[in-house]
Amino acid sequence: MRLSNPWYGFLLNLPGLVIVLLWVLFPAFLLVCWSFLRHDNINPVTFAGLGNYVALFEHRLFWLSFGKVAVFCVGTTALTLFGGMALALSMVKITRGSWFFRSLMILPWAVPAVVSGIIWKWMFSPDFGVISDLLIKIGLISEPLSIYGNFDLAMVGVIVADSWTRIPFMAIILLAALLSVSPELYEAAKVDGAGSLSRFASITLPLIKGPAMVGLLITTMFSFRTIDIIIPLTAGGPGRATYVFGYYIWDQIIKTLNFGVAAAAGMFLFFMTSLIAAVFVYISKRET
Amino acid sequence: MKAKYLLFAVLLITIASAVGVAAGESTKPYEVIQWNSPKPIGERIGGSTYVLPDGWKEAVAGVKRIKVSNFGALKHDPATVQNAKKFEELTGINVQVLAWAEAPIVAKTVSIFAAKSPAVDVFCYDHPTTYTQMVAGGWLHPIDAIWNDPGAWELYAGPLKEGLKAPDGHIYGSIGQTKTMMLYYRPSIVPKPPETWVELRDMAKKATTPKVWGYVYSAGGEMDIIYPLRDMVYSQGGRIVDVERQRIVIDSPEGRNAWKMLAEMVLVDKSAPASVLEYSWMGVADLFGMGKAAMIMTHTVDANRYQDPKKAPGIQGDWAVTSPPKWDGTKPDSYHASYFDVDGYMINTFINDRQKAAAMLFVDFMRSYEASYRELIVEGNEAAVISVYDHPDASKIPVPKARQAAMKNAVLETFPPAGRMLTDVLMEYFANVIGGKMELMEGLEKCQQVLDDYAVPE
Repeated sequence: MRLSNPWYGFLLNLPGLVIVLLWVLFPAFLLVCWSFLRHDNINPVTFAGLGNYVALFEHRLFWLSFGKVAVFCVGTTALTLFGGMALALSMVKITRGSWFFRSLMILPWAVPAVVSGIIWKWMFSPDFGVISDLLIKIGLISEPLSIYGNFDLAMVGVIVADSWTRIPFMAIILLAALLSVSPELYEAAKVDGAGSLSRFASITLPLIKGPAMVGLLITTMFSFRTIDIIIPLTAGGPGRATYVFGYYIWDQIIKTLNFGVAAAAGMFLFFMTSLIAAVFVYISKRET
Repeated sequence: MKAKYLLFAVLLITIASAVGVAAGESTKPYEVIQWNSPKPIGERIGGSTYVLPDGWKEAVAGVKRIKVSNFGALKHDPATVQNAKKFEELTGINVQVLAWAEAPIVAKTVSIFAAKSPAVDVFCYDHPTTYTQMVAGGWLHPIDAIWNDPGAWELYAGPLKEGLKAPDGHIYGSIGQTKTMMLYYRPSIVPKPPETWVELRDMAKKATTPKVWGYVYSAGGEMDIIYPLRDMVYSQGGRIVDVERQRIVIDSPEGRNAWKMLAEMVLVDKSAPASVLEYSWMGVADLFGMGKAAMIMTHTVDANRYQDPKKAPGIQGDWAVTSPPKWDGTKPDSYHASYFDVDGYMINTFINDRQKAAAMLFVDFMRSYEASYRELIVEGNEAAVISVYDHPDASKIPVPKARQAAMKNAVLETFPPAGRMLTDVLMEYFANVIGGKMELMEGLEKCQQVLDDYAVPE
């Protein structure tokens, strides 16, 4: 078969297509089907029409978790963007031994979210935690801080812990973008008398906007479905202070075994992440 | 005419073969095992050496290996490893013990069942919150046959029989080891341990200093608040599961007392920290080991690590145990009770019949005196077979008598389906009270409303 033959390309892509079909499309198809079934592992499985969706939208925890995940998503994405940007801007200035610092920078990314959750839980522990101890020693607080036992602080603690694992990814994307900006542009701006802030606003930001949007899109979508870091940190608590949407789906599958409602929730998650992606794509296209 | 006879003969042979095949299939391999032979089950598994039942060899013919899930890493479970090896020596069937991390164990189990997969033959499980759910899913193989002897039940603690009986009357679970809690205290701070919760509350107030909390309990992780609530409800003779309605009930006289006392220890007495909202039961046990609590209720097996200076550096030479407190002086001594949990085994209904036979044989062995002996003596877990505590070797483990006493009054309750979700409702509303979002009894009443409204499918 000639390389120019379109069937050749198809043949080469076939293994990948089969994998996508088996592991993505087929489960997605099952998810759609199950979302219309009464499948609670107690009663016989029957067609439920839109019953699962109605149950979902009437469930108090659904709306509660939706609100929580919105806060979590905005917080994590913002912190990741600012943290990643700060790190990338610092890295771009390092010329000697940059390989070492860049390797160091991506380490948190390599830590599994569950492990990261356990590490932060220990660091924030009011009894043995290094953070409370440090704050007491420098006189900022007089009593240990129970971050994950406090309704107002728990979400902040979870956002910090989750962002810690995501910042390196954002920093890598932004660093790559920063390195691709021609130094001549900065030199020309300097000659014209532009200060560092105006150089950042007029040159850096516009030129790294594209990659930054990709990083933002991925961070937003991933944080929208997060659960792995929340389980070891707070288990959704205290109360339901950190009960995000991913946790709600987890509960429907694992704790109530109501696969029908869980599938409907999964469909909602799919819809929301698609919507987020669409918004980002629209904004990116409009800018270009 | 000849053709007619031939046709008739073929028909006859076909029918005979079909009947034969059907008859052959009607006797499943695991039905060939005579569980009450060569001795009744109780004697066969209750002696110092386990005796295989008659017919086992024929039943498991061709089975080379079974896969069994396990709570956590095997380095922490030497008894399980030894028991698996012993089973292989006895039967020639290799036991592949799958070391699953505890946190996702239910998720993994549910995934395999939901996929109707035969990938794992035997699952370990935590009884109160999982059993009815798995039974309701239709995922378990009934094992009534291995329990078909009144003498077998006498080997174990009283609550086991009722606990293993599923709503449909069948038995789907078996026992490997048990769990219960007792009161740990620091004699340097609490010279005489409390007999009752009322006394404990008073002592906790006096014991609290800037460095040590008087009493600490867990209300943070999944399932955690259920431990202290159960202790206090059982200490008054109450129960939290309404078996008839298949509901969890906390708005009962006993539940109200428990709820009030636990909340007031934090809000009024300040003898327990507000950070109970982030403690798991493990966190509480760690806190005591580090010397930051005067009294806690925790698992009997924690006595093993508290004698280790590396694992409990803050309390060396300064810890003791006593039975769980009863509520007050008016209550009988049988109310010195905590919860009773079966760490047991259940068999996947999606495996083939020969694998089922081998799996049944394995759970039969794991509930035996011999296996229980290893659990208690080798690993320091609580033994399923109670008489193991009378063995002279039991003196080698820490506080054996106190552990046996705690087991005596422990209460086993099996939660309705979605039990884990229901305990989260308790966690949510209790946290709302501690966090100042709701008044004390308002929180309890609202919690009960949600528990009552919770849609357990009809």
